[in-house]
Amino acid sequence: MKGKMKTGIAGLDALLDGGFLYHNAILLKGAPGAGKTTLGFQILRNGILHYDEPGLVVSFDQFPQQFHRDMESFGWNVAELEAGGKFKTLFISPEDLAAVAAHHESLFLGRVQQAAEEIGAVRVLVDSVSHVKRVTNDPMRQRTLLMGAINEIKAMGLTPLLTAELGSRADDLIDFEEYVVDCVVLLDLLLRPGQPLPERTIEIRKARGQNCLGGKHPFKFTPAGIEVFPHCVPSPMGLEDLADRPLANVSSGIAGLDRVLQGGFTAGVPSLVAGVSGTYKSTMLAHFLAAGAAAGEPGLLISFEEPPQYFIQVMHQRGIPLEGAVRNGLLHLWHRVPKGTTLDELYYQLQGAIERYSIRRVAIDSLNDFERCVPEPARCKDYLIWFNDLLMRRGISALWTQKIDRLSDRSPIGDIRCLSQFDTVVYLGQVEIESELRKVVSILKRRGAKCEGDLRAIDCGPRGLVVSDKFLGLSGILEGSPRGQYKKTVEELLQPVISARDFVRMARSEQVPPAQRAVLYDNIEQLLDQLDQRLREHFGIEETES
Amino acid sequence: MAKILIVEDNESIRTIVRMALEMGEHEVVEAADGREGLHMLQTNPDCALVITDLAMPVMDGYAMIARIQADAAFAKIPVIVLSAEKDATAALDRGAVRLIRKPFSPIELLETVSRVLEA
Repeated sequence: MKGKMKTGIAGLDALLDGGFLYHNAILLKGAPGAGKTTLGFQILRNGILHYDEPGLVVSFDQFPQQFHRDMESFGWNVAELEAGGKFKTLFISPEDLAAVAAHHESLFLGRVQQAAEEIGAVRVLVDSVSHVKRVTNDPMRQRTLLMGAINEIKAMGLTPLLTAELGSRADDLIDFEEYVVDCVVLLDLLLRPGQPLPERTIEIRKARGQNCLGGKHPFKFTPAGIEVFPHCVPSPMGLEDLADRPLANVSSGIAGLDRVLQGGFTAGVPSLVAGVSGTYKSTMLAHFLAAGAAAGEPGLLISFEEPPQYFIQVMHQRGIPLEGAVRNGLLHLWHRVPKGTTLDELYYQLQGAIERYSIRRVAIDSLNDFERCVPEPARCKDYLIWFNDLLMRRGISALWTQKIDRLSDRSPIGDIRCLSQFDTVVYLGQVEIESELRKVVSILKRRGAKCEGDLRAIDCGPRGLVVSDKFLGLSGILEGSPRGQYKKTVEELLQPVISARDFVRMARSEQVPPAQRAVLYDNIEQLLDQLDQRLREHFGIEETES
Repeated sequence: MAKILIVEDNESIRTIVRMALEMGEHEVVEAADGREGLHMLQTNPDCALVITDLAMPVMDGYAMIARIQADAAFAKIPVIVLSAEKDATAALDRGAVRLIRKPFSPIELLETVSRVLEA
């Protein structure tokens, strides 16, 4: 046989650099309930269904009915497979192994060979070889017995998958089975304090003659069987990865914010919206995704808190309809529960979605919840770097939210985590200005591009967010305690009115020479133009062509 | 008529002050902050009056007035403060001769300027 024997489990094949080598003996080892039999049968079944490789199950453990029932819980109809003529199950008493041990004519191996020949088997699952230990207490005999059986099965042209029970955790000694096989796949279960569900991991501990990705990788049981999520392992990004991408902007979906950002967020890099609770962080994501959909750029929202339907309803009420984009396949909504999600799984799914849906924009709500998915807090930043690395490599514009607590009167930049991981950081806050609670927006960071760096008011109008007022001359807003008068109103709105009125009075005076009167009219016109522009900005009214 | 320096970070306000002063046929030079104001004074030593805001970036109006007062060459140039700050009267204690509150009337500004220049 040429090439690799694919398991048909994409994540596992990725760990194995394409699959197992044919005719290697593969040990699937784990504690009771770890998923050894399920994994073995899934590999066998995938061989039959997807690679035209018939399979044989040799079980010492279970009665046929029980085996059928267990596999059918994943929707795998064993009887149907058998009826197709490419699958067979043999239920053999462990005592039959004794014949092999005694070098007698082996009934066990004879039956395996006969069954394999009947269906033209390529893969065989032996469940489980731990029964060898029941045949004899002599470790040397156990080893010889197992090695003999494996060699016989290999000689039949089969690729054996062998399940085995894991010894005590306290026992660091490696069981003899691991020495006599070519590959060892270890399935583990770990219940961490505070985690409601055990964490399942898979590890390729040995893979003779082939490359594999080491380490423990998460896996989980899904309704369709086992899914494996290889750990994110980014390689250094070369110049060639970004060379053909000129720096461009993508619209935030909010005209006023695009003006402040001088065109929008930088395309293909991650940006962050950080702010206290209730300052339109999620709404900003909705605008970002809606703008993408309007430009024909498929987007994905990963939400850890709000269920997608609720998000859609809230945004609809705020004048940002997203239903159409969802219907047209331009917007995909994922809801994940922090305590039940591993980031390796999410990373793997994100990779798949990017390819499948040609995703161009990703919005993640929020970094706080993302961090809650990581059992070891020290690794949060690693995961953030890996996710951003994936998105940057694919040229995807990403927008994250981060909820911050403003307990101090420091600048908010001190309250925002992982600043260095984002190209642009937008701050959303609430301040009391002249007895009124106002929401403000400011660009705290903008790498590689100019930004105005000032403060503006942000409000939700009938068609979503409007970024308007510039809080000129008002100090202390970022610290949450603005000082001085609300100069914006005075200087930008009231002053031109008062000045225009005075100039009108001057122009009316009969003592004013005609040349000076003309200058006064010019001044009045200039002031009215200025006022018109300021009022439009203030109320978020677009300029209309006249 | 006189040469007058306007020091104000808000360009719109600066424009209105300039418009008003030019109606009074004054010559106007402009600066956007205190430091630039001091520089303009050095390059325009014939300025007869300074009109300044208080809250400005780089160098505020208080610091600029203090520097003008401390420089014998400019100490006699009168300074009118144009401010919306509630506690702007403190500028009068630091050497400003008049305080005009924003929003201001250009007609009243011109009248105040005339009175200060005549004094």
